[in-house]
Amino acid sequence: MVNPKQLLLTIFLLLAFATNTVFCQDNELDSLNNLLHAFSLQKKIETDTNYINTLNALAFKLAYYKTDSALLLGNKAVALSKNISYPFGEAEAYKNLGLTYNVRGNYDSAFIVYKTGLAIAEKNHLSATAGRIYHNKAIVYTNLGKYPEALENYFHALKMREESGEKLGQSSSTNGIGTVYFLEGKYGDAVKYYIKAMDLAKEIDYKRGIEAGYANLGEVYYRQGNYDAAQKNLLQALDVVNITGNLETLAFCKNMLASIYLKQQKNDDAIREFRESGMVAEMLTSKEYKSRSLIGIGQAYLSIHKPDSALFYVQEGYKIAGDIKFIELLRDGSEILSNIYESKGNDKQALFYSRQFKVFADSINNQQAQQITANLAADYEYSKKELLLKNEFENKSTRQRWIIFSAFASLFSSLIVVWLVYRSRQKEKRTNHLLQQQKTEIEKQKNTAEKALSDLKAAQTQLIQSEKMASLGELTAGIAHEIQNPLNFVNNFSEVSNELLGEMNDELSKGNHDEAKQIAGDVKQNLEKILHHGKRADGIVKSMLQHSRSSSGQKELTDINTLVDEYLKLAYHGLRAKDKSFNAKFETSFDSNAGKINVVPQNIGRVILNLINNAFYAVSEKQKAEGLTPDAENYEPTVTVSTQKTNSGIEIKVADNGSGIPQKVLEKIFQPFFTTKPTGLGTGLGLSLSYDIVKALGGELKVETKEGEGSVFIISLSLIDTV
Amino acid sequence: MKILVVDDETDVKILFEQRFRREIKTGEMNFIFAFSGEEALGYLNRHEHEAVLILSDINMPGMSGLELLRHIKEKYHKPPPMVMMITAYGDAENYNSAKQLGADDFLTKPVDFTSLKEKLKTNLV
Repeated sequence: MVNPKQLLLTIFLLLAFATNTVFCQDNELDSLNNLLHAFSLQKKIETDTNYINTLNALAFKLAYYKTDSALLLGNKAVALSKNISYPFGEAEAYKNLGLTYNVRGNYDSAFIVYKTGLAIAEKNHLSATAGRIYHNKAIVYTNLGKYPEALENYFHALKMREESGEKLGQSSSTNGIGTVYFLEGKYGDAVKYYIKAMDLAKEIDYKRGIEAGYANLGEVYYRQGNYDAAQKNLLQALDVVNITGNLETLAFCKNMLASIYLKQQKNDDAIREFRESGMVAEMLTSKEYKSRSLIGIGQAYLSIHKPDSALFYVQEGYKIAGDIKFIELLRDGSEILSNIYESKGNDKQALFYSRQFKVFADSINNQQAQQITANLAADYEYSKKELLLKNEFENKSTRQRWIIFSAFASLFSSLIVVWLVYRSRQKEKRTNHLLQQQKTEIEKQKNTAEKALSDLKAAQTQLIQSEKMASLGELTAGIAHEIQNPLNFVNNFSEVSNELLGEMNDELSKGNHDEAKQIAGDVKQNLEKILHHGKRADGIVKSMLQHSRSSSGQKELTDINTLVDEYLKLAYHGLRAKDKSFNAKFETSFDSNAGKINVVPQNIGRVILNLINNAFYAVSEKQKAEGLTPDAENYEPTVTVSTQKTNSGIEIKVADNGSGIPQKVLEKIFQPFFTTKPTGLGTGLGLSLSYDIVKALGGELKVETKEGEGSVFIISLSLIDTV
Repeated sequence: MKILVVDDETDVKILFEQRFRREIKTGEMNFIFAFSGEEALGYLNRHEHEAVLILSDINMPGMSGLELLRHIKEKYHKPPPMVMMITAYGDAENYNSAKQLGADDFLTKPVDFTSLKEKLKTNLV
């Protein structure tokens, strides 16, 4: 198993804000509100610093829940503090505003108010407030992955907190520094600071700090491969958890321990710890940890050669990871699934998951590469700034020396100037060279990142192509059937026409002109039929080719009713060919005014095909379920496809009377990789691609559904492109 | 005797009329066409006392040929009309369920009209 970075950040954030516990208790809020109310009954509350302090306390509490109110209170506190020149109140208010903006993800605004707050705090020597602001800024930078800036701010925070003598704050900031080093992969430094943070926490018996210290140390040692030390620290962390009852840390430590056991091949221990971690995750409703535990259990089962149990757990975990789109877990899950299927001899599934693994791994590598590029760019900016400062300094000293020397000996002065200029030029050259080198290096890294990005894009294209091919495969049987029918007619009508011409000859030689004429009429009609059915087959082949073509086609005027009808038949026969027992009624209601629309036919065709396939799937699933009940006779699976010209354009509706879509699932149906079909049966890309296609046409794809009654998917295309 | 042809492809009407033009001319065979299972059942209900031979496609939207077959064999006892099934998928499963439901014969597409003619003639005797 890999490092649960996410949880680490959680612990670290908890620690960061522990001074005014994050978990807001209602009664505490109430008492603050009551206090405010009491103030409001007094006169001249606006000049009362206690009132401002209470406003600030409330704003801090609300920063996490009601950001609107928090901003309102914060701004009010700023205004009142300014009026009575109360710098502490003002700086604290800015700190809270920054925190609120941070919660909202509005980082630019956060930095602006932090800057204002810091200026006030530092001018008035409010080191405690300044420390808090630096600390908060560092957290934002850490979250943004800007580690050099994060460190700078943590060190400032530490300095301020040493000045004000706050041990708890020092412990928090020191822990933060350790975390940044950890995230940068500088494990040695991370250990140093984690230990320092823990010592500080121990001095004041700050349990949560001690607990986080042990847990974090456990993780660093795990990363370094020092499993004994990791285990020792994690067990100590668990001892502290017994006192604090902190479930997040409990889940984290259990999971880390289990991962260690897994590495040490102590599979039974690993399974036990993963199970416990999973149970805690359940209490925390942490899907990430639930998934992590299930995948871990599966991995342990695979190690003890129980592939069936392994498959069960990993599939569960993988599904949850998919629900929460946790790429790292999807990567690990697909790797293990691939191994499981390989050991079961199911090469097809093994290959499928190993491909999935590659896609997810690429995606993570790509993210990391981007991170590296960004950090390098930041380093580059720093080195530029440094260079500038250095040059300035040297220029100044050069001038000074020049004045001194010229006073002593004007004769040598010009020589010295020449020499100095020469020297500074040399220096400039050297630094320029260095800079150039750095630039090349950054350029190289950037290229690597860009390469990773383009690889990812290629993988994505491939994935989309494979979704297309999958739906084409589903269609093949339907297409074969659809072509067979017109071909039969072509053959039959040619054969019968041949016979008829023979008869016509006979009649002509007998002199029966009228009879001959009538036969000629029949032959003419047959030739028309042959042409008609030939064209019909031609159209099917064409649309099949268009469907499989990977490059995007041209927009053309397309008769929407014909297109919908064609894909409806293909989908129906495809499903029928796959499942002989399946039969569904399909109804069409085409608005003859629907007309033509300017689209790429295979694109909108894919959307229609997808929706119809889904509709048939929904009714066939319901039929299977109903088959077990006495009501089975009364259920008639029906798919209705209709077109309708509206005021603003065209609507294409695909309705089914299946089971409907539960609310929980409804939110996710348009997300890529989400599928309710059994593993391996659906790519989870159909609806997401459909959504993108319709969006790209400037249209809308909506769904109306009622559980137990069915669903209606509606494609609305605007009039602009219709003719 | 009347032969009821059931198929969702409307062009089968012209095709059958030409393929059996001689038999139709002489009055040896009389064809009626229905373009869905529902329509076929409607006809049978309206003409309950007519002796009819039914030639039905299996793959049709709505009521499939097999359902039509089940309805016919369950409902019309005296004597049940003869039913021949036609399908594009010449698979064992369709064949077995058609036989199970009481189909008298089973043909695959493309239909061989020469042998169909033979079969009809022997059955019409």
